[in-house]
Amino acid sequence: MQESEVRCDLQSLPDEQLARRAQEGCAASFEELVRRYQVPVLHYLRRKAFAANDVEDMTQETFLRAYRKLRHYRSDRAFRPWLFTVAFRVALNAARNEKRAEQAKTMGDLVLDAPPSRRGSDDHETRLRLWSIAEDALSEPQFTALWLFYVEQLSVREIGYVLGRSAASVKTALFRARKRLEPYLREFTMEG
Amino acid sequence: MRDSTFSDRDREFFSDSRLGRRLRQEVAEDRPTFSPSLHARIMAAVESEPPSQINSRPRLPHSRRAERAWNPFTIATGMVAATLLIGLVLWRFAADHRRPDEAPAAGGGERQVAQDRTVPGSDFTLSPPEVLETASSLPDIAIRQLQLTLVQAQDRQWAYLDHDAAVARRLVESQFPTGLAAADTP
Repeated sequence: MQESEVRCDLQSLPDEQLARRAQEGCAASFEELVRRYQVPVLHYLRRKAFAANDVEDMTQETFLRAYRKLRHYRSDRAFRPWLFTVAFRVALNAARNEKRAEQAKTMGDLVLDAPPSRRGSDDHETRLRLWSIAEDALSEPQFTALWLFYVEQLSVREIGYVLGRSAASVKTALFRARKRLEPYLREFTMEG
Repeated sequence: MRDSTFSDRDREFFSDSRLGRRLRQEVAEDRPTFSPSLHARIMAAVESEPPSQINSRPRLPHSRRAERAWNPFTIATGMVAATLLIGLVLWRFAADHRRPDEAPAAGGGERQVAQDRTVPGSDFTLSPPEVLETASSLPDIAIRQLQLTLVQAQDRQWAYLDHDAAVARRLVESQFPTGLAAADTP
């Protein structure tokens, strides 16, 4: 069978089946999953406005961890929330590392490699004004809940799975996030 | 994939809100494109993973994992049960072999009890409490066996009383010349 034919076959398979095949050692199935989720994962990590290189490293780290932890994936569950759980943890670790580096810098410690600027280009920030505000105003779980709900269209239960929280807690996080962002939205509307 | 914990009304409230529209609009404008170089980089990193870190065995469904989880538990339970069984056998063995050495008088006591059973009353040199006192140095099991034997012996002491009474009555009756007296009657 030609490689292109195999790829066509894989493209028609659902994520969960691909993940199951990858668990059984099918590298092509995992590659198809990487192809499908590169953009969503990159997008999710980029909203944090880490430096571009860092975001690519974090995306690579996410897929590498997913590959290593593939045996923990249960094929009777949706693959997308599972992958975003990995991405969420990678983002959390990166944020913690950055916070530590910033604290070290503030305390006057010798920091050889200064952390890259969290903010991207001005253009990026202009386009993502509300998301940029959300990044500053919301906690990490609140922000992720908001992203997964509006961008990835995950259900509350699935978001709860990603964040390790109950569905009720996710609903509360969404309501609070909405409440925090509404004044800014009103301001933008008046500007517009 | 929607769930029941979030009602349609709630979802509508969130999704159709101005906030939701604005957030979706922002990310739609900022969506990155697929990067072949990043894809190649990720796959190169994945392929360079050492085989030991890749678990090719798929995760079993919950029910089958539960079955597998029983195996070590069953093994542990079996080991504990076997240990207890061996301990019990050894304890019984030790108890059986300690009895004659540790309580030589007890053997005499048992023999005495046997004698008492065969000839009740005649050679009864020790009363049951005395026998028990004598046997107090025996291991617990031996004492319990002795108690049981004594109780049984006491129960059987009157077991053939009716039979013995009938025999005695016939013996006494045979001593009286009842037939002769009837014959002499004019």
